[in-house]
Amino acid sequence: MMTGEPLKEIVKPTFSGKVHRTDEGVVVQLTGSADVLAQPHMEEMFAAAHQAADAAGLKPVKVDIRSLTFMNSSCFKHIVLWIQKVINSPSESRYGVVFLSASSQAWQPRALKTLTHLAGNAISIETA
Amino acid sequence: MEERPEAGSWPAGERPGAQALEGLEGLQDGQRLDDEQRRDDAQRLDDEGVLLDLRLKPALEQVSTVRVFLESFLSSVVTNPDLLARMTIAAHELLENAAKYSASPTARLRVGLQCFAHWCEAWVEVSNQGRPEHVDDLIMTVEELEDPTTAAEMYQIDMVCSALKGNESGLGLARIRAELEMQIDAVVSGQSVRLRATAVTERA
Repeated sequence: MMTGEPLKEIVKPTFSGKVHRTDEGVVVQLTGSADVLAQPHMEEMFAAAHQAADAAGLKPVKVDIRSLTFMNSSCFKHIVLWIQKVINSPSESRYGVVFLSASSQAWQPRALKTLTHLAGNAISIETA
Repeated sequence: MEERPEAGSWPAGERPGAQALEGLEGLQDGQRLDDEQRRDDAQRLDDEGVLLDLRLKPALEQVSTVRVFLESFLSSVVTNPDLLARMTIAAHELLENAAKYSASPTARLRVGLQCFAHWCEAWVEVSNQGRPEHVDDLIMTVEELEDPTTAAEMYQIDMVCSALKGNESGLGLARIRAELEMQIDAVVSGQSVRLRATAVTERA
């Protein structure tokens, strides 16, 4: 359940992104098409998630991409950089990352496979 | 049973369209083709399984609109969701590159599908006039990505190092090769650049 105001919220005609706290931890929710319009906001959203995750202890950050229809390589880069930041954090402050994906989004398995190769055990994937 | 070839593993001269590609690729090596032969080769390449041939001015903000149209257009022909996703993502990445690095505003998007006894070859191609300072880099990148193992390593390294590149990800071609597992062919003549991403998949 969401608690309080979103930590970050971006609303564009074809893309929206929201970072918020829930009882289970921090959730980054991405919706629509993450392309050139979303690109300038990706870094700040994942920076907000990282900061909030630090404050939330070791609860995993969930990245909900079930309604994300596309992501270009420039936006993907920001996810990779964020995961690198998590991996390189001191072990006592390193949190887990869970991607919530949808089997109906055919682009997601390949992109998540790439992330898994890069991040290994640092991320997990839940597909609905 | 016919063995299904992987993209990038075609025996020399056996890949459909290989002769035409090789003829045009020869231009990179300084070989001269006479006008008639060049036209014939280009025409042969043009006619192979083309589903869509579109000229456009690919402004960055409009690339997603083209991708969505392409997905809708292809969905009745390409029924494999993974293949459809690979084709549309490749088109998006190639068009973004064209929008970022073109010397002139127009580009050409072509998409094709050819099915044989046991496998299908799907391709996406973007042609444009590249900026001179990017053309040499492009040829080098495509050559480096030729080997699938190297491509996967490059993609991983590029992603990790991408912070150094500011707003330019430089990941598009590596993504096509490594993540989408599509072969990339480049045909360059002067500033004219034609990039084709090809996927080979089992026929349903």
